[in-house]
Amino acid sequence: MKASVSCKQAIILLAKKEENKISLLERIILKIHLVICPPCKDYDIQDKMIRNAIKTSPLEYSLTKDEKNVIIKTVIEDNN
Amino acid sequence: MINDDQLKLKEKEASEWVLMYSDLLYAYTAKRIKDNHTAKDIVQDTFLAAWRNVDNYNQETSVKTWLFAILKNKIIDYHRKQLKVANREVDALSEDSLSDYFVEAEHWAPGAAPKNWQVNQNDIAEKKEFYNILNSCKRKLKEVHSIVFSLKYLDGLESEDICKMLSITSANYWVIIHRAKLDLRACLEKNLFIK
Repeated sequence: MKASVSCKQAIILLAKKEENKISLLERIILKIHLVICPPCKDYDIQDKMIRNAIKTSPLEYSLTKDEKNVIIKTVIEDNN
Repeated sequence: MINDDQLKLKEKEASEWVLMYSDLLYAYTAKRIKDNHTAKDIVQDTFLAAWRNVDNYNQETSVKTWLFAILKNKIIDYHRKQLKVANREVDALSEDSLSDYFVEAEHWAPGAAPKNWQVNQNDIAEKKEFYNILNSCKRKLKEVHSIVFSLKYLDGLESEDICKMLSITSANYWVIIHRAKLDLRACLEKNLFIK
């Protein structure tokens, strides 16, 4: 492996790092790339943020009263 | 023979289950399946399946656990079906070289390079608006991308298990997950700062 990587390779290494499938050499190469490449550094920060936000999303979903009544009716009629 | 009283009692129990658990089941499903109608159908099918098999319900587990076990199976079935439908698409995906994001020499394409969002990451993640945009961006992902992304980041599954579950190759998985991440990030950047 070359001592420097392209941005695309850096993105791939970041994903490997996330899965703990990165070698020590790759880890060092990636670290250097992130220091010299602000877009990739930003990508890394934002990617982590998105991964976090997906899990902690406070958005709520609920069914309307009518929708619940339809389910109740369907279940009871199916049973009879 | 069950008499009218017993029937009434059963019906009462059925409606109690729906009133108590349908929102929980729906919230879980809506986060994993893009189409709201499909999500609602799956919730209804879950109650139907539960009620048909109510005699097999083991009282040692809670109703909630039991319903969720049925629901999760139905969601996996749906995901598998979607992947089958998109089979050709998945094959084409393995040719996806992400060339809209990276140009020759594999550096960021003009306009595709991530920008510094110039905001405190903690502040932004607390805002409901951020989550609304994230949600609508996630809905814009192609079905296959959205499914793989959710299994990975919502359910926290290992990539190997996702490949097995959906019968896709590891190469396909990596292309899909990168495409999903790049599209999602780009959509967020585009929509967070318009105004």
